[in-house]
Amino acid sequence: MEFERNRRYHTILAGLAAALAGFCLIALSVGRYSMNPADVIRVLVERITDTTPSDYAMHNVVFIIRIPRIASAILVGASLSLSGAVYQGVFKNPLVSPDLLGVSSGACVGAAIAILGGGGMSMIQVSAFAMGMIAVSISVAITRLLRSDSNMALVLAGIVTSGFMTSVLGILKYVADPETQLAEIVFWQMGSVASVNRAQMLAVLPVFIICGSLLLALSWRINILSFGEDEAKTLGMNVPLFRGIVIACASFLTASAVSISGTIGWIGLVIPHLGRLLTGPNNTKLLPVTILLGGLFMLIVDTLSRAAMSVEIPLSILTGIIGAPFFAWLLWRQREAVR
Amino acid sequence: MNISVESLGFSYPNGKRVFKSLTFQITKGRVLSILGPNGAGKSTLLACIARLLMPTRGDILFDGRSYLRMRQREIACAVGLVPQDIVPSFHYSVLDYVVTGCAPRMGLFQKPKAEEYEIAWTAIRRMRLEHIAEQSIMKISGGERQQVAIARVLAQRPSVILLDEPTSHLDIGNQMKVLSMLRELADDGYGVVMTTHNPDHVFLLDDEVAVLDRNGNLIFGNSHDIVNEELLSELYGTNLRVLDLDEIKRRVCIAEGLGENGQITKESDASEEM
Amino acid sequence: MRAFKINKRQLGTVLACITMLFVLATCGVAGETSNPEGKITLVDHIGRTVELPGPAQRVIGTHNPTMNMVVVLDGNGHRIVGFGNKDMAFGLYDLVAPEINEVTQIGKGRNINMETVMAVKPDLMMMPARFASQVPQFEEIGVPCLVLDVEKFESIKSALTLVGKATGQDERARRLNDFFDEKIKKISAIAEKAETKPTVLMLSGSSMTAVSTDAMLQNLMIETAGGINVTAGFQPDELWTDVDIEQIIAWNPEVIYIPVYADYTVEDILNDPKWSSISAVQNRRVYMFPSKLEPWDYPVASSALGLCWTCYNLHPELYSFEDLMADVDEFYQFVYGQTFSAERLGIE
Repeated sequence: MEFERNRRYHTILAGLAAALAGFCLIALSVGRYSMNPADVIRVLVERITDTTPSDYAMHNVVFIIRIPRIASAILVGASLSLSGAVYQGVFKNPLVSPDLLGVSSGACVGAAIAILGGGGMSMIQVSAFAMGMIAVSISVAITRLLRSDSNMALVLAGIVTSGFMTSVLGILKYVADPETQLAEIVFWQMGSVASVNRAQMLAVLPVFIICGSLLLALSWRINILSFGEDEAKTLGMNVPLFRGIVIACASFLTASAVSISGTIGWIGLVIPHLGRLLTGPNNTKLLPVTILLGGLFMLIVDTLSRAAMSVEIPLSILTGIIGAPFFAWLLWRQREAVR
Repeated sequence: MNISVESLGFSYPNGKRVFKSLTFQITKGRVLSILGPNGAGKSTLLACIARLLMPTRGDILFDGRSYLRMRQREIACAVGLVPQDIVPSFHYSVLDYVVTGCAPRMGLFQKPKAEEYEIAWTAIRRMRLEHIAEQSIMKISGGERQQVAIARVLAQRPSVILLDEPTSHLDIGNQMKVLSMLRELADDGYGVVMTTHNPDHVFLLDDEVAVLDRNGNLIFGNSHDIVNEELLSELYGTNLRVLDLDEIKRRVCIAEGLGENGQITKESDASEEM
Repeated sequence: MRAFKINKRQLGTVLACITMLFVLATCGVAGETSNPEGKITLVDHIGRTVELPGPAQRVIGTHNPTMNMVVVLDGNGHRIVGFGNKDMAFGLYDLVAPEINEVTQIGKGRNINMETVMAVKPDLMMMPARFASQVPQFEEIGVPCLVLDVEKFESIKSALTLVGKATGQDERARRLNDFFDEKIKKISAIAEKAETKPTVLMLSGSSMTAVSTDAMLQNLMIETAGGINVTAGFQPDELWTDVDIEQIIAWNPEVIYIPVYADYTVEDILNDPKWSSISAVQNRRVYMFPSKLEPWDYPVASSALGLCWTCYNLHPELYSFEDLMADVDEFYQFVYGQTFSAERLGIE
């Protein structure tokens, strides 16, 4: 029976990986500069075999414009989904999203500060990341103040921090120049990977690799955490340390993703649910699947956003339009559980 | 593994003292019932034994070694705690839940393999749960959930199994099943400790008992020897009788009747509050 | 002898008649003297009738191109008593109209402080069409508004005429418009003669990937000066339009202009790897649109100079640097009585 289960799981994994690779090819062919998949393959082959590009413009479009954007979309989608799944496990609550501890609202404040200070893209990214992590630290500090280690304390602290950050953001928006800065802040908030360049993406790649690998390695232990802190302790786990590491990794992932793409909601909440539909809640299977699903979903959404209309629709709007009804459908499917 | 509780005391951070100095032994092959009224601190005592809570004084010796400085993992290899309820939030299968019992002996980054699953299956078979092994733990009945919890502890392969009020939500039929299971487990070689407030369970098991009263005092010994009418009436603040039913060879505890507020008529202890 | 003896009653009547005649005559005379130039009636760009008792002497505004009309017609800023925001002024004003730096700031966009406005007692508000919804606020406090919608040459010339009428500078307005017409004619003729017309793209100030469209002055200038707009036909009803960098690569313009008020520089574009395959970048034909003292791509009188410069940039063999500077000097000499060097203006 184990063998069958594993086989099904491996099929799903392979299927998702293939879908991701396939859609990458499609995404590489899509854009204002018209190209078909054959062109894309030729350009890629030229690069691999190190021959001089036959079409310099096409080469540039693929490597300097499209690939960084596609990679960023996948990275962001994967990071947000993975951290969402992990948060749901740690907080024993499938309705939790990576914004729980205030990362997203903090990152917005960081970005706004950088925009008001006239900073460029890198400045905004660094500031957003830093402020996102500061928000998480504030949430954790609040729980220390409450002298409580429990999940409830963390959730409440997260609510307080998010609320505070949102107010600060309001002040920053109010003093921003309405003709330039305000628009920039709002646009950043709505989420986009359109202007991510290679340097920015490479800056977050190590975080993704390190934190992602760590979480995958600890995935089975996260199962135990999701049964309850006391149970985990009686099974010999150092719960505060373990939970701290896992939350820290997930927060780093979220902050990195948000720092390059702006806030994008719903993905961290919905994709893990979709993953559970495919593999069940066992994190050893769920987490890898979530990573692939999240990357694929974000890639599809971003490609739609740039290809479907002449004006690009911000990502968080699309994820909301798709995510919210989808979530409703998921809940309807599990309606006995909800009742 | 011999577990010896030595002068164990626990007070809450706000100063409220639960018990002062408890001393008793947990022996392999025996069932120890911790008997006491609501609020006496039975669950707290169990939590201390598993070191979910750190005692404020005293110690527990595991084969002579102090448990205060042991790593949580070592304790988990020796002691398994079956919680009163498990309230799962996700549809884990029974098998996936039970296999987590192997965690104390696994490396931090290790994932369960065939060996661990075999241990889990053994525990599932022992608890006769094969028919629901692939089902979601959210969908099985309360009684089944409790058996699953015990299976998980069996997968831990501890020396001692602690159960917190294992019969509390069960009807009388299921209660009997659970108590028989405890007897079986003791016969298998585990040291079994359970908390209860029902004196009949103690008589049924007919083994060791530690009586814990509301003042945090404990009397330890064989149920036959120490559980009598005076003790029980004092313990519960109500007139109780202990009768031996020769026909079925059972000792039972019954209330005398519905008196005035159920207070002891012999000595009205002014400090006793209902 | 019987003389004409005028009795008291007759004398009274005669005196009364004389007095009445005198009063009537005076009234007539007073009517004329109290309105030496007469009431001014204008129809502004959104069809509103604006009536002024006389030429406006205390003008306020919050929008630079419209205010510039006043400065250009006077050759200075003395008539201006309230201006939106200090940092909106062109650098040129420091040289020709430094008094504008001292002018009261009345606020910008939707944040106009009406009390400050009342305090400076203006007699005319110059308002851009997109803020026309604020007109009632000014009418409430009795300040007439002249609403102008300037974008292309025709609207600029019309605005000059209207503002000239409103400030009593009709003659100067006429001469400026003549200058305009003459330059347009000259440049168009030169453009006709050009053998090849390069493809050109103009970018916005706030974003490297927002481009000018057919609705805008910039495209008109480029076309008139003998260039081909890569954005011809693209989003013709919008102003600055955001596009994907890939679209710009697909257009592959031979020449790129960036405004002098851009948040980025020519170097930023030349060094950005995303842009490296574009013809204009490879041939280093990326230019800052003049001038450093005032933007010649704004819908103001000096846009005539923008037109001239574009022609020089695209067809230097037909319209040389000297030709350009001659026209530039002619304009500034007439308007401000000074000329400025090419370096100062940022012309290469």
